[in-house]
Amino acid sequence: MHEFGIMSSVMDNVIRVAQEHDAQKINQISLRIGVMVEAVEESLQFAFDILKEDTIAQDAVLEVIEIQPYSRCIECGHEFEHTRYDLRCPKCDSPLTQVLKGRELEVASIELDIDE
Amino acid sequence: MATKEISLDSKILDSNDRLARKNRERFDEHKVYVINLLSSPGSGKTSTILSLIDGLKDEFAIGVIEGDIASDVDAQTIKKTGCPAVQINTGGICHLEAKMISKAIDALDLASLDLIILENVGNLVCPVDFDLGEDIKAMILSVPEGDDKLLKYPGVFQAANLVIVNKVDTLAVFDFDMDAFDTEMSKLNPQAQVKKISATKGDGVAELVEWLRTQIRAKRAQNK
Repeated sequence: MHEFGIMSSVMDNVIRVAQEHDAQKINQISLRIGVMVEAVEESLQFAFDILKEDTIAQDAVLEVIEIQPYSRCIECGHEFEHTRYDLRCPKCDSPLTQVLKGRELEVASIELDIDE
Repeated sequence: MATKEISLDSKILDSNDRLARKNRERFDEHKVYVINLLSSPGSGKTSTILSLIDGLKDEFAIGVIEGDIASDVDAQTIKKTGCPAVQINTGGICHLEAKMISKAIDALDLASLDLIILENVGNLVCPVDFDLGEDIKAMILSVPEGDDKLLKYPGVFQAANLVIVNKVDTLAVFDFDMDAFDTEMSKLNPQAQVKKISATKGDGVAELVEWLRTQIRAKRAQNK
């Protein structure tokens, strides 16, 4: 359950940003999570539901945007989508490929209520 | 009351990554080669470390940082070899984090070391995305665990630069399909080094030791 540690970093970060904007409430938190990292959406959601209690995010919704793997072949330059189980270049079969997308662990955005 | 959307695009593990970079700078300053070792409990991490110490201690000074949820049995075992060992008890946390390593290395004399092995908590999932400042991630899969571990826990096999298949002396009694493993491995992480050993019987250990010897020498020879 390292998702708890991941989610507490998220909460620390977004609550700090919300306070800097003098927000009353956080309505939504959007995360970008690559398919190739070890973070399960259900566990993130579970941790979120516990950690948001008694904070300005207590009514917030968690959105998890899943990012599919996408790589570039270092030898032939071909760029391709793939599953997390197969990194070889589908065009020239080279093992020398570089993952461009699919390893994200990011906070994309937050939506706040702010008094005008 | 206005609703406002704010783009953050920030890395969630940013604070860990920053501390990992600091660790890496300290290791690089002293040209210490660092291995972050991952595996399940019972895969033979400590026996593998002992066989590496035995093979490399003639040329290199080696330190070990042991990560466990509780106890210091592993550090005690390592200390019997004469190598300095520091025990980290994570107190329930399922993985090592960069800040734990930065404290632990204060207890080691980096200037006198050539190699540090960070033995992570026995777990194939949680430690994978936490950079500690290492040069390579190595992972151990033991034959009794089965060749399908690769499909069940792809992340750790994908993150590893070195994959050690341990306990190959038991292949005859377990249902481990080495051809299937090799095929899947060459797709899942085609750039990884794969070494097959028996840490306790000695099979394949010399080859693994030689590969590491080359890596450590290359780091020692680097200009700062």
